[in-house]
Amino acid sequence: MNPKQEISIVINGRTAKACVPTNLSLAEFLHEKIGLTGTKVTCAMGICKACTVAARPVGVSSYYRVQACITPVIALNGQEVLTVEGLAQDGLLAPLQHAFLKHFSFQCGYCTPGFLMGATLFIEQLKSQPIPKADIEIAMIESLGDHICRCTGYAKYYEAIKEVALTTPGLTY
Amino acid sequence: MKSVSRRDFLKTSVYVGSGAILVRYLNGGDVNAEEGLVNENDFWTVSAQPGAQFRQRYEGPQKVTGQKIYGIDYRARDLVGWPEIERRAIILRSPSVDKTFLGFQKELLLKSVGASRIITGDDLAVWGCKASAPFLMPEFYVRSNSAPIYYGQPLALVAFSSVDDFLAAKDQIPNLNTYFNFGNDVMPPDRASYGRTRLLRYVNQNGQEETTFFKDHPSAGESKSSSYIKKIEQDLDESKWHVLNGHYATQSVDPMFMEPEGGLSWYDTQSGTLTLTLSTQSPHGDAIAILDFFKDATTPRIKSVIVNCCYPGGGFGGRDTSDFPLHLAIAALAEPDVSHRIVHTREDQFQAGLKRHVSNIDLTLALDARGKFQMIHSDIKLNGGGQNNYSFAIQRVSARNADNGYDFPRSWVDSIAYPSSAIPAGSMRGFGSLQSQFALECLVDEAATKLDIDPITLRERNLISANGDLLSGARLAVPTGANKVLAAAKASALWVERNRLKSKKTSASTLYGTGFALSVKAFGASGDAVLTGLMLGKDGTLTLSVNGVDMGNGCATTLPLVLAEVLGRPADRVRMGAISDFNSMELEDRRASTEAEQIAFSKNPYWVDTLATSQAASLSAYHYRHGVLEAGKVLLEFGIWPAAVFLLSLQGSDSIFDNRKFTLDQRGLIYKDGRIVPFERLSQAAYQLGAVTGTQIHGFYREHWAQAEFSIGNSLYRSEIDALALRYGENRFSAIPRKSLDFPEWSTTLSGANRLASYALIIAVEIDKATGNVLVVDAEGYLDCGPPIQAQIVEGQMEGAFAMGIGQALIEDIPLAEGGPGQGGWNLHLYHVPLARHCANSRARFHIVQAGEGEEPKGMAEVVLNPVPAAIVNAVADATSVRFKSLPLRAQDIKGALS
Repeated sequence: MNPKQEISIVINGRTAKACVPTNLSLAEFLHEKIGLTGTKVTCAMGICKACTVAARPVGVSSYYRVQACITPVIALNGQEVLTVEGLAQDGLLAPLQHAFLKHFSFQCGYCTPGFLMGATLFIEQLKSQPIPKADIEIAMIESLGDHICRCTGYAKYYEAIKEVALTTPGLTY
Repeated sequence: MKSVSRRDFLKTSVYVGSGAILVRYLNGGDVNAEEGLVNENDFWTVSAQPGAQFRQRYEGPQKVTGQKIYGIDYRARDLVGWPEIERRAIILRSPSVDKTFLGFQKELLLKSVGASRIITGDDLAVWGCKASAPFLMPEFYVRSNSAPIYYGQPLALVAFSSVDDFLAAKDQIPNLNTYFNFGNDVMPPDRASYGRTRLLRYVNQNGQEETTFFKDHPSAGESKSSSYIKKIEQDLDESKWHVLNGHYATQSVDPMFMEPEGGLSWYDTQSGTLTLTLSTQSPHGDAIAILDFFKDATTPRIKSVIVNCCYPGGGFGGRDTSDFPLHLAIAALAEPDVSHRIVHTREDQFQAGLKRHVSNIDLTLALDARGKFQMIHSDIKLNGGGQNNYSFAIQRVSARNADNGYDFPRSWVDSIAYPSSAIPAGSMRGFGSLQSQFALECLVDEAATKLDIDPITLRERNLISANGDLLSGARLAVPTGANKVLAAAKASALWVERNRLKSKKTSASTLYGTGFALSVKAFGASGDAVLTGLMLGKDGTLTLSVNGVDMGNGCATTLPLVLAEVLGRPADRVRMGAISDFNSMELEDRRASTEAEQIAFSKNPYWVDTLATSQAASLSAYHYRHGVLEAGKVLLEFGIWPAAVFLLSLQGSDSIFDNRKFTLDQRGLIYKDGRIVPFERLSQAAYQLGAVTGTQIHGFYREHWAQAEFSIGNSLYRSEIDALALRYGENRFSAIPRKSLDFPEWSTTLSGANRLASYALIIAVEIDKATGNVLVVDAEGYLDCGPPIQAQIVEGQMEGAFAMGIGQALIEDIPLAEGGPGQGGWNLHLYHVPLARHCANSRARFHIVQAGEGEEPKGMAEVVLNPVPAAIVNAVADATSVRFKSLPLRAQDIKGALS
């Protein structure tokens, strides 16, 4: 029997408190305990990136990448977690969500939450570290190149992310 | 893709009444409300311009907001009426073959992981369960003291009382193999082939076709073909043709759809209903297999099966007649009145999921000095693995598409699918044609080099004529479009400049080459059935129901859009996989085995050959579109038009339906005098008048669409449908008996599909001389798919197939035996798939060639995959002067060849 631990995590702005086994992954916690199934699991070993979410310690402004399938939820204790369900605010989609729709970026869409969260982190990174416009392709591949999609060939994901990166003021120069 | 369904094998052994199976779309009413859901239609807007396309996918908003949409998303608590208690189960599979299975140490196993129940093959035998060939082994789980015959064959289902128990045990589950044992080696059983095909066509020197074997000798054995084989061999001996030979091989790959198979089940004792919620490509066939499996069992009787269809997170054929739904059913029957959930891990999916057939193909091509093809002889061997999961049809489709749209005066193609101990292979995208076309496109390229003819020019010289006969015996219904895509490819800069680019990009460390390949591929199986329903709401909204599901291929978006061609506006909602919406049609499906039988069957006014074809991406654009158009036409003539006549006070000849008297667009019906009637008013009037407010049609295509006549009111309505149900006003749907039927002749069952799409692809590669690594650096593709319904979705198919083809050519590989995924433990650390960096992401360009006047959309999900591997191999040949003939291309082999 795995030992248990009390945790308190802010998920998409709401605090969740629970006593969980220490080997429970963040993805399992989201799916089975919170009822949020938008974060997807394909390989459950951190390779495909479908399970990407963003996290940050409370009070810290910048998010970091978390692979929810291999990260014990206790490691997020005291932190804020942002998942795909938290991107739209007050019924309004985030710019990346709009761009994914506009560009028909996905097909089956199972990897889309991971791409959205990965792209959100990429855009966040550009806010603090703008890059030359000419470097955008390389930067996207460096940031998102390990995400796996089986339907699309990636082209329309990158078109959408590139558009947001190039049209949002202050991200590129 | 296949003209024979699971039902054809089971129809004599299981009774399936119209109420026994309910396949339906899982909609909002079935799901407990979630807080903060985004309404799917809030973001679904269409431009007002005529011929406009959607701004986004129909189900797109749900997918970008993480809403529950896939089978794997749902828990029992999410579903209205389901028992809240949810068990969790796993499936144990055999890592060994041809050894006696000694059974389980049940108590130790259960205790080791805190599981509550184990169901073994011995239990299923006691219950009296038996599966039916060819899709399943009769003993679905291996019984003790018998031997598994393929890797990954199911051994048992292990259930946990709760998800918490399951999660507590998850780290121990991979070790459960220690609680069952195998004994002595046993001889594998002799097993018959899964199917074989001979296609033979001979055109004499005067250009007259002397025989097309299937057409002339539909039921003959091979002996009758021997005289023509001798003639072909004699012609070859006496000729001065150039003759090229090659042995080609392609590997097993996994569809690797992103959402592993998973779902829920529940057997309700009171009603005798088994309900499943999952993502599947073959919901009706799955339900039939379950009824068949339990028909003689001592378990509680299944009176009906409900399949709630969810959007699949990818499919590519891998969810078509998978055995997964049967495991869900076993869990439910083992413990009724609670919910059960099974979800594959990726390791499970690799061990159990359907794979692509391994191929070995011996190919001979003869061509004259002018580069005119004279003869093809292809001997295709496909490894079907442990079960005949559509292998019988896949080998046939492989043979039928082996000519790749070329005109061969002499064709001799043999194909066979054979059993093995490998994980079962199934209907993966391409359906056998990828393998046979890979071989031919490599050898054609070699021939071009040998004869010093431009590879595209050589292909242009040998295309089948616009109304030519295929080697299968089918005559083309529409031009293949191959001439258009070849011309476009030939003019592209990547092709025109290829020698200059080669000189420029080749260096001491890098080789550069350009390759070309063509695919001309049939879409549909020629035996395809569509069910389409259309409901006019009182508020003027239009709701479409179709039997297909959207695996990501986009038909949930394109089919509503098609309706605008008839009604001037798209459907507002679409229900996918809603086969049981059509129960009111009272269809009786039965497949005839002779012309006389077909004639006898057709006297029944509700008879159809096939109820519904399982979902294939290549059926959407042409076949499903036809259903939408036909459903729309009926609603227009018998619902919307009578309402307009009433509202516009038309009388006399003005009141007679004639679609030249009006147009339709987003505003409603615009009469010829300029008066506009909005849809809301039309629908209200239709309800008030008791006119048609709902239509359901069944269409069947085999060489051409079946046509039938129906009495509707005082009219005799004739159209390209073979069954019809109507809803008047607020009444229920009622079936309309057919007055007459013009059905495709039975002999057309043998000749195969007669509609083909074409795709030409140029690929440029760079090869690292030090390592032998191949990188695709550029590409240009040209597709003839007729007029695209939604261009971005077609482009997405091309881009996705490009990536999948790169995986097939360079990256993916499934070992069939020891050390392969059949023994378990495989995941993406061992099985690699293409990433963005492998796909020339910012350089590859994909084009849709201009459609001609009056052309209709073509299915294209498979044709865009087929030429990718050959184009890469031909590019590598251009770079290295070495012709590789086996997939995947391995860096060490290339490095070895270069040294």
